[in-house]
This record gives sequence, structure tokens and C-alpha cells, in this order.
Amino acid sequence: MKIKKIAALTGTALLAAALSACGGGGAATTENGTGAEKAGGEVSSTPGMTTIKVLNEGAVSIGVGKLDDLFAAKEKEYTDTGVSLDYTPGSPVETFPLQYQKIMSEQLKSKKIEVVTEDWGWGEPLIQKQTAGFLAKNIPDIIVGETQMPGFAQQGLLEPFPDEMADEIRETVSPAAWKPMEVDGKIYGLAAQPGVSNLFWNKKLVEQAGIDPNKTITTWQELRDNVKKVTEAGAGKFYGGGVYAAPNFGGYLRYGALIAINGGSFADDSGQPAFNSPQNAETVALLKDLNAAHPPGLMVNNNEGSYFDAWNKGQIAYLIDGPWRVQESKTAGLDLGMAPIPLSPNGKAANVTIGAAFHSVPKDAKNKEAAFEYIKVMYGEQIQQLVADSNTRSPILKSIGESQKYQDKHPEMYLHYQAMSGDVTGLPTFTKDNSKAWQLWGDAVVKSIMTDGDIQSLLDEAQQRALNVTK
Amino acid sequence: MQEFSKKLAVQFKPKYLFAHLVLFGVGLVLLYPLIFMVTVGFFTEEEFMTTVLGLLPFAKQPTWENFLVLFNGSADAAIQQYFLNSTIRTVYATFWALLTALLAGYVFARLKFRGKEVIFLTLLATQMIPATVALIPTYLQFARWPFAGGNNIFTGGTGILDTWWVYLIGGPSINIMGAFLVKQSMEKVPYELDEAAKVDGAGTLRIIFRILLPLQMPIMAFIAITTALATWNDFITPFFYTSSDHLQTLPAAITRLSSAAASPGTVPNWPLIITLSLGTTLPALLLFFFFQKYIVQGLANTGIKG
Repeated sequence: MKIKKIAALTGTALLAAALSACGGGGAATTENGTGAEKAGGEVSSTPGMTTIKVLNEGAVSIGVGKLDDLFAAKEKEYTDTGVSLDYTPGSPVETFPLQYQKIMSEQLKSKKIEVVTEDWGWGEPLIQKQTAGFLAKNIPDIIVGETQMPGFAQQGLLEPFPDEMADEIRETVSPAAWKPMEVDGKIYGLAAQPGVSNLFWNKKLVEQAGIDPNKTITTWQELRDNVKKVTEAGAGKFYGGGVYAAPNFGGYLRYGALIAINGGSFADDSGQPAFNSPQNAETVALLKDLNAAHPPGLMVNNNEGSYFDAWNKGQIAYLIDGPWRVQESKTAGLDLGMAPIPLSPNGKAANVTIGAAFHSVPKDAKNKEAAFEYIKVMYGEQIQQLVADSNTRSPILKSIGESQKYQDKHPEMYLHYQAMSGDVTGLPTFTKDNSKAWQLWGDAVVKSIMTDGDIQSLLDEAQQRALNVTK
Repeated sequence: MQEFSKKLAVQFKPKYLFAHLVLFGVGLVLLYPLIFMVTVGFFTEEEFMTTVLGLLPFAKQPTWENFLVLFNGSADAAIQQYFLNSTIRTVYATFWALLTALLAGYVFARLKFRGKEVIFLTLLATQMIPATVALIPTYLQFARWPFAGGNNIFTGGTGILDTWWVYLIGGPSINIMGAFLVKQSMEKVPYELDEAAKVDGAGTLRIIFRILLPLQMPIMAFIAITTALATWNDFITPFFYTSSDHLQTLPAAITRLSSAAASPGTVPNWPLIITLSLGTTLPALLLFFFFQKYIVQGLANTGIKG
């Protein structure tokens, strides 16, 4: 009898726990103001407004939930730490993510649209969740991502921008913001503040090696010579550096610019691997030389944080990276030089977008029209002026980026703007088994850099193996 | 006192002394990441960014800020909510793991029925499927849950995705490995015990809970500890099947922070991320520290040797 009672009690307790946890979770109000959320992650909409779900982009994130509910807590966090909330367009901005979201919210409200943000992470976890979301047709109105987005467009998972909007973008917006997302003449995504790479150098370290820190280097040979000199002068304390080249997208995005400059490419127009071209072999040879100017293993370390940590701490002198490096280096107290990436003997200026959070509208989005309005605000004047004022990235709107005012006020970022306006591409997506093909390329480059193996043979082998998986 | 001195003298014999020194060294190596995490927790973001860290980094301008966030949360990280979610989820999953392991273990150890071995082996075979392979099918299963989340039978809505049901239904399935261990352990208990209890008028549930369960305590403790650790540290379930902030657990929140750090152009706040990771690690570590003897006992009972 007692046992039966225990069993009955256990059953009741379980059911109660299940129900209470379900109800409690749904009604939970958190400190960060997501109290508007109902069970099932649904957010109560304001009557008369269209609510769109937008995936968070790290650089402008202020939390997850209904946008309007997030401002108060974020403002308090800033004021508690003594950061001023004031912002006047045309002046420096200290609270970039907050101001960005406020502008988005205000502009969209006038169009009867409100925003709920969700955070699906970044990199591989984001790609997996987006893939599952597409399969289940459970996807936000705006998704965000970097290297995976052109692939989604090619697979027909994204909605092309309306023609009128696409024409406006082509005319008024820098190509780096949309060109990598152009498939068969249609635009499928836009980044409000994309980056391309430039060459940066730590003036103090360069000077210690007897090199004029204000002289811009323009050729690969100069880069080779200078990193060697700095490494010798550093005697194990600091090194020449150059570029991050690990077998991951962090590496491909950065040295991809060198591949493009030398006229090489990762894939041909049909999405098949093009690993073993003589141009690629020359670029990998440069990487091998640069590796000698790094602490052992650093250049191909899979953790990109370690590489940029070494830069911030004054352990490497040269670096090819995105525009955020300017502000980060200032924060780290480094005296910085910046110039376009040096060219190979037969090369011409070219670049690869990096740190570009492309925003796209999925085919299965529930509020496509409102989602496109969101993207319009992203390249609108107010947001773009804010991007210009942040001095971390360049604006994509030509009317701001090409203005004399911008050139005078942000000379370094104007260099970046110019690089964005040139020959810019994104990383390609291979026709089949994209991840595997990239891994084969990355492994071949690491082997070329770290061993005495013949570069051309290693690339030939990778090409053959990649063709086996992509065909 | 004299005995103690004798013992001490033995410990200082060269061969033991050497062994102790080696063990101390190994212990230090194993503890080092924890020590590192604690010391880095006192760094500000700016100081961490500009300091070349030594083996034991000490902040020049120490701050409690990261530890305050660990306990109080911040504008975009409701830490207390995540902590509560982690705790509820862990307790719930552990309870279910124990219950299902005990009952299923009993069925396979004690009952005789046709196809028992085939069913058991089939269940065991499911353990060979890597968890990542099941991610997308499970996502679809949750999304297509009948009549849930706006679904018109199977489609039209979001199913049970992004609800507490993900944790209540999806998390605690039958603990197969636990059932296997209980079966192994229970088979060592003489069947005569069950028969004697039956003669005294005990039913099946009484035999399971009053006669056999007390004898299975070490293995039950082992299952409880391993399930609790696995659930506490699991970030995949909350991260993949939920999106709302109020459903996140500590590891998922840390994964979010780390993935934001991986996004180019955002400056990673490593001292904060490392401190939050410390907050995730410590409860699991303490659990392991206090109950580790049961892990050894439990495995010894099943006859499984490492």
C-alpha cells in the first residue's frame, strides 16, 4: 500500500513539476527586460504593428528580446560605468550598439514595424541551427551570417531583394556590402558595415628594427624583407608577423585577400576547386616565408584569439586584418600604421570581405515586406552616419563614404572605404560538400607552411581530393 | 602520536617521497587551469588585452567586476535566471535518469520474456549513434510535435521548440547506459532475495524500491553524478532547440558570449568569459569532488573495469 502511495505521489510530483516548470518558464520575466516573451518564445506584439524576428549580430547586439524593452537596462549599464549616452550625428559615439538599435527601432516604428531579436550564435553553431531552421521552416524574418550566406542564396533558400531596392543598392552602396551576395544578377543579402583587409603595422616595433615606420610598403618582397628584419631585431621577444593562416574561415578570409591580389582563387566560376594554380602556389610560398617571422605555430593556430592577442600585446609587427583593428589597436595603446595590402609582382589591388554580417530574408520568412524595410534602414543615412562616427568600420553609403568631410575626419577609415570600393569578392561556396573541400584546402596550406613538402605537389594532391568530394 | 610519527616517517622514505612529489606535480598541472581562471577573473578587459600574461597572471588593477557579473548578471545576461534554469534542468534530468535506469535495469535483469536480448541490444546500439548526427532529426521532431506551438497536426507552427517542453520531454529520455549498469549490478544480487520477499507478500514495486534499490545505491549514485554533470555542462540542447533568453542555461549563455567573441569586429571580453566559465565549472567540480568515491564504487559493483 505504502509503495503504491509512493508511486502515486511520484507520478503526481512529476506531472506537477512538468506543468509548473512549463508555465513558470513561459511567464518568466528576466532582469534584462524580456518579460514580453510568452511561452514558446513568442513575444506579444503591439496592436497595429508588424513584429519581425531578427537574428542578432554581435557588433550591434544589446541583448535578446523585444528591442524596445532592452534599451533601459543597456542605458543603465552604460551610465553606471560613466559612459555618456549623448550622441550627435557627426560626432564620436561611445555607445554604438545602443544608438544603432535605437535608430533601427525609431525608423521602423514609423513604418509600423517592431523588432524582436534572437541570438543563434556565430560560426559553426549558427550554421547548424540555420540549416535545421530551414529544414523545419522555422526561421526568423531576417537571418544573419558570414561565409555560409552565399551558399544559402545559391541553394534557393533566400528571397531575392525586390528589383527596385536592388537597383538602388547598386547605385548608392559600396560593392563590398552586397557583391558577395549577388547570385545570377539578384542580390540576396546586405551587410551594413562590412570590412575588407588592410595592412597594419606596429610603428614602435618596426622602428626598433631600423625601418622607417612612416614608410608604406607596397610589394610582397618588401613585406618579406621587413618581417625578416623585425624578427631578427626582436630576438625572440617580438616577431615580424604578417597574416593569420589557420585552416579555418578566420584564416581563409584574411589571406584570401593575398590570393585575390595575385590573381588566384579558391574555386572556379562553377564552384569547383581551383587550388593548384601557379598563382595560389606563389601566395602559399609567401605564407611560408611569413611563417618564419612568427612565434612557432602561431600563424596556423586554430584559435584566432591567440593570434590577435599577440598583436595587441606587441608581439608581432605586421598584420593583415579588418578595419576594427584601428580602434582595437588604439585601445591597446599601439601606435599604428595602415596601408593597402602590398601587391605581388604581377598582382593588382583586390580584396575579400571580412567581418561582413550579411542580412538576408529567408524564403520561409513570415513577414518578408517588413523584413526588407529593416534592410532599407540598415543602408539608410542615419545608420550609415552612425557607422562613420564609430570609426571602427566604414560606411557603405557612397554619399557619406566619398564625402570630403568623411575623408578629412577619418583618414584611416577612408583608406578602408577605398579598399571596399575596389575589386571585392566573398569566399566561394563549393558545389558539394563545402566544409570538406575547405578543410582539404586548409590542411594543404598548413602542410605547405609547416613542412618541407613541395607546395605545388601538396596543392595538386588537395585539388584532386577536393574534386573527388565536390563532383 | 607515536603511530602518527611512524606513518609520517614511512611517507618520507625516498620511494614514497618521490611518488608524492610526482603526484603533487601532476595535481598542480591539473589544477593550473582553475588557478589561471581565478586570477584572470580579476583583470579588466583593457588590462587583459594589453598584458603579456605570465604563467600566473596577476592583475595590476584588480577588479571584482567579472565576479559581480557572475553572481548578479548584466544588462544582456540574466545570470541568475540561467543558473536557476541549469539547476532545475539538472535536478529533473537526474531524477528521470535514476528512475528509468532502475526500472529498465530491473526489467532486463530480472524478468524473462521473448526477445529480451534483442530489445536490450537494440537499445544499447542506440548509444553508438553520435549525438551530433541526431541534432537535425531531433530539431525536426520537436518542430513537428503534433498540435503544439501552433502546429496543425504536424506543421504550421514551431512545435515544442523554444519551450520548457524541450527540457521536459526531449532531455530526459530513458537512460540506456544507466539501465545497462543497473542490469549488470542487479544480476549480481541473488534471485533468492526477490523470492523471499515475494513469499513475505511483497509486490514488484516493493521488491524494486525496498529490496533491490538499497543494494544498488553505489551505482545509482554513479548514474546520478554522471547524469548531473552531463546535463549541467550540456549547451547543445538549450542552444540548439531554444532561442528565448528566459530558457537559456549557464553553458549556453557562455557559448553565446564566446561566439560573439568569435565574430570578427567585436572585442572579446575574455576575463568575463573565463569567469563565467569558472561559474559553470565549479558546481560540477564540487559535485565530483564530494561524490567521486561513489563513481569508483559504482563501477566496481557492475564488474566493469577501466
